[in-house]
This record gives sequence, structure tokens and C-alpha cells, in this order.
Amino acid sequence: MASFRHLRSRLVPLLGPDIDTDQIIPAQYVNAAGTEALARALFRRLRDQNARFVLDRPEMAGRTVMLVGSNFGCGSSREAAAWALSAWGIRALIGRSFNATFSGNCLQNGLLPIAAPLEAHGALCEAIGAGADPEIAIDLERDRVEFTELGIAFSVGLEPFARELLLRGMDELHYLLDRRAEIEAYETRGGPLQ
Amino acid sequence: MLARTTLYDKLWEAHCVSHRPDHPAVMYVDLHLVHDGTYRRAFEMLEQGKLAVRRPDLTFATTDHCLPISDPSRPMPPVVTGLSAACARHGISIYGPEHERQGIVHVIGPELGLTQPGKSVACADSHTTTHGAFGALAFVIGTTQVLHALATQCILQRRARTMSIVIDGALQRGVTAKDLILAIITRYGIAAASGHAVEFSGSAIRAMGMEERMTLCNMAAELGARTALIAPDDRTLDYLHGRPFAPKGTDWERALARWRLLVSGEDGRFDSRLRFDACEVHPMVTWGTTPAMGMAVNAAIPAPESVGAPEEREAAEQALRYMGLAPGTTAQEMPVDVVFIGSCTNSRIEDLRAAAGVLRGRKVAPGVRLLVVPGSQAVRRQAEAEGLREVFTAAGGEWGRPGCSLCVAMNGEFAGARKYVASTSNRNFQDRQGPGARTLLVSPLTAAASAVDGRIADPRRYLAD
Repeated sequence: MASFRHLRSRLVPLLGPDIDTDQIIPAQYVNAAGTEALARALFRRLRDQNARFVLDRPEMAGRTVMLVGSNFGCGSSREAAAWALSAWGIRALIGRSFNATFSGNCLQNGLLPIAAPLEAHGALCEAIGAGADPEIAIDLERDRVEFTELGIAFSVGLEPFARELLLRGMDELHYLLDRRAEIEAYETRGGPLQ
Repeated sequence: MLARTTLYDKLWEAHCVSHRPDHPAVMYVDLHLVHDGTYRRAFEMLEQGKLAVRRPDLTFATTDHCLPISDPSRPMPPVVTGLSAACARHGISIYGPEHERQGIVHVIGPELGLTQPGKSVACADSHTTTHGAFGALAFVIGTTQVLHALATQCILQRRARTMSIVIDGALQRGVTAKDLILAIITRYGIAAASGHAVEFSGSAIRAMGMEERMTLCNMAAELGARTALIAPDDRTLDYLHGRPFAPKGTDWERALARWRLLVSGEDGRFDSRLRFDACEVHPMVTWGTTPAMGMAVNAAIPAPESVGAPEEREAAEQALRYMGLAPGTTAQEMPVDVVFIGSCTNSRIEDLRAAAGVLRGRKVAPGVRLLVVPGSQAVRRQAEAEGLREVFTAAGGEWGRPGCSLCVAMNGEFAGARKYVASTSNRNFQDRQGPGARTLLVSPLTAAASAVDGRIADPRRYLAD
């Protein structure tokens, strides 16, 4: 996994509450293989229904941060939702809140979900609604999210373990494989309820 | 102190292999359930990394998400055949499409007695919460964590906050666990239990059979819960006794002694608490595109203006546009084109018996398609032995092969655009059952009554005395 240190981008705004993973990637594409197919599957139904859907606007090409609402990624636990976002080029999400399984899946894939404080999120949405197109700077090492043009800043707020893995480009598998002795000991003594 | 410990705490501590400060806990998986929808990349990564499956004996696979249902002559998709091949390579028990134990993963786990009180159960599916109905610690995982569980039999987890939902009172006749959970979700919203382990208790829960408890825990996922729990009792033990993987003989006696300890302390310390009165619940139906956009079958669609925050109002308006419905429309004016009885929420034998009870001797309304999909081969056999298949087909319905079918529409079979689907499944999201399909979530009783009326119906009119 590539390490995540900092990035700068303008935002792909996709506001509204409770955007579920069936919308992010419809079930029939969950087993799509390859970056291109996954990127094409991202928000496929909404794009099919609306040629002006935000992802397909020319100015959005190359952007790496999506601005979302509350409870983003609710519903199905399909990890393909994170894969499709990554495949399209998204590396971080700024939202009010995320479904726990979804944000876990994002982190497994080096995609950073950032829950913005209520006031900052409100100000951001308002600015976007008024036509602003601000640049975001995320610095994971300094634990900082900044919108210099808007005077908005907050911390990334990631727990230390997840942050460390992202900074070092490590995945959880190696951490777990390193716990082998502990796992063997647990198996030998037998789970207390079994 | 112990009296303040919750069931979740006990299960958590029993499965915690190790926990370093500032790190997530290493949690042991006693039962890893794998299905055809979400396994592929995990096995690819496992094999690329030249890793072995640590405990194939604790890993069980079934095919459910991608099976052709309506047209069984269609070839099996590569993900289905691929799962059988992957399991064969790694020595994992696989219940393929025609296997006598095949079925929806959350139906067969309990049915085979694999799911047991006190076990931790991991599965890459959001409705893994179902297994909590047995007092098992259910982990909803992603595909990368499937890899972790295959390679190490462990996953990394952060402890959830705990929520107690006490449900007292008796459900009225014709009102089911499905209606109860829809009523709870409608009242509290789809993020009410976000990040929480929910424990259901109270007299209404004690009165429920295991199928109803599974329906309740299944749909706790639609409250945003990370996991759901019901403390095991005599009904749990009666259900499990004699199942293929349930402990036998003296092992059974020993298991009972352990399982009886799986309760929350009288002063269990929960991070939040809700109370709900089962007596007040009517049969429910959803009118929108989240499970919280629901109403009683004797009510009308609320005006979006009556909904709280502006963001929610906008979401309600958008949902009504998608659904082609207007505020003030009564539930029983809502048309039905397709009726789907199935899914990990409501495809067990009790669900099919309930639906058949309404449909016996009646006909599906002209123009309505009824699709009944049993949750497993065992449910299919039982239903056929009881003559339920006959009831459904005589009424004009189709009888599908066991699988997830139209709940997730992952098999390429869709309800048509703008079709209204009265569905016993769990999600009414936009486009979930196919592009443009309009899902109305209901209980099996309401689904069956609606099939007869060709509109959403109050099933209480159809109940035999």
C-alpha cells in the first residue's frame, strides 16, 4: 500500500445525507476487476441517470478529495465501494460522519475518511453552495486539514494506529501476522466460552 | 462489578487475543463464514502472498449472492464456480449451488448449528448482525478482513459503544418482528445505533421465536449497529439442540452451563438506552428510499415539511420523486407490481408458513408477479414437505432456488424500472432491486396480503380466526 502523507486538491462535492454503498457501487459491479472497470462502476446508476452528475463534469477530472454529507457509506459492507472510489482517483473524503464498516474498509485501502467538525462542515457546504471552489490541503504528518481561502482548518482526527499505518504505507495484515505467538497461545488455552 | 458487565463486554473480553494501548484489539474469530459475493480479492491476496488458511476447520463457505434464481438454466457466474475452486484448494467446507446444506449465509449458519452462543462469527456482509440473535458476537467485516481472518483467524477491531434496546409488551396479532424493527428504525433513524453494539431485551424479545429474533438482529444493521445481541435462553437452546454442528452428549451439557452465563448484569452499564413498546406497533411499510421512511399500513405518507432538518426534508422529497409517490397517499393506495418473499431477513420456514397462511386458497392479483425464494435448501425441503410450495404456486407465484435473489439483485436479475416491489428484504435504497425499481419493505404477512390485493394490504384482514 502506498503511504499517505499530504495532498492538495479541489473538491468533488457530493452532498446529501445517507449515501449508501449500493449507490457508490451497484451490487452487480462489486466483482468488477481492474481499476478501469471499478472507476466506471463508481456511482454508475446516478451517472447513467444524469449526464451532468458531478463526477462527469470536466472540471472534476484529476481531483482527489470528495466532500460528502452525513452517514456516508451506510448500508452494505461491500469493500468495493472503497475500491471504486480509489479507482476513480479519490484519496480522501471529507464528511460529517461515516458508516463504521465503510470507513474501516477505506482505511484498509489507503483512502482517508475525515469527519469534519459540524461548524466547519457547514461552512464548507455553504461556500460550495455559493459557488466557491476552494483548495484543500491535507497534512497527515501534522494532523491538519486546511482550506486557506476559506480560513477553515481542523485536525484529521485519525486514531494513532491507523495514522501510523497510512504514513508508513503498511497494512493490518502484517501487524496480525506478527501476532502469531499470541494467537497460538490463545488457541492453546482455548477461548473461554468454547 | 460483574453486575455492571454487559453481554457484549463478556463476549469481547473472551475473544480478545491481545490489546496494546492505542491499538485496536486482536480479536479471535471462532466461525468465519464466506460467500460468493465478497471473497474473491481476499483469496487472490492470500495466494499472492503465499499464505495458508490458518483454520480451514473454522471456515465455512456457501453460495448465495450471485446465484441465478428465476432462470436456473443460466450458467453459474465465474464468482460462484471460483469460490468452490478456492475452497477446494484450501480445504474449506463449501456448500455449492446444489449442496443439501446450501443457502443464504445468515440462514445456514444458525440452521446448521454453526452459530452458537458465545462464539465470535465474522462474515463479509452487513447482515452478519443476524447471528447475534443467539448471543454470538457477530463481526461485520470487509474483504480485506476476510484475508486477515483466513490468514490469521483474527481481525483488528475497536470496541463498540453499547446500546440497550428494551422492548416490552406483546406484539398484536398480524404484527411481526419485521414490523417491530421497521417501527423502531422509523422512529429513531438509520444512524441511531451507529458505532454501537445493540442488545435487545425485554418481554417482547423473550416471547419471540428464534426466526423472529434473527429478523430483529438482522435489521439492526439498518439502525447503523455494528453488531446486535440477544441473550440466549431456553428457546435458543431448543432451536440448537440436535443441529448438525451443535455440541452432542456431554459436550452439550457443558455448553449449556457456559451459555447460561451469557447475560448482561442487572446493572449492565450501557452507553445509551432506548425503550420501545411492542403493543403499539402496526404492520409497517416503507414509502421512501431508506428503511426509516416507514409508516403503518393504516397510515398515509407524511408531508416532507413535517420532517425535521432541512437536509432530511430534501432527502424525503427526493425519495418521493424517485418512488413516484405523493404525501398524503395512504399505504393501502400504494400499488404493487412485484412481491418478493425471501432474503436473510425473512426467508426462514416460519416466514414462509406465515405468508402461505395468507395465500392458501387465494390468488395473486392479476398483473402481480410473486417470487418466493426460500433461504436455504433445508427451508426449501421443509416447505415442500409441508405443501407450502404448492400453496405459493397454486396462488400464481414462482418458487425460486435458495439464494439472496432480488434482495441485493447481484445476480443480474432485476425488478423493472418504476416497478413497485413489496419486499420482505432489508433495504429499499434507490436502484437496489434494479435500476429505477421502487422497494416497499414489508413483513411476509403483509407481502402475501399485498400480492392478493395488488396494493399494499393490511394482513390482519386475511388472518384466519
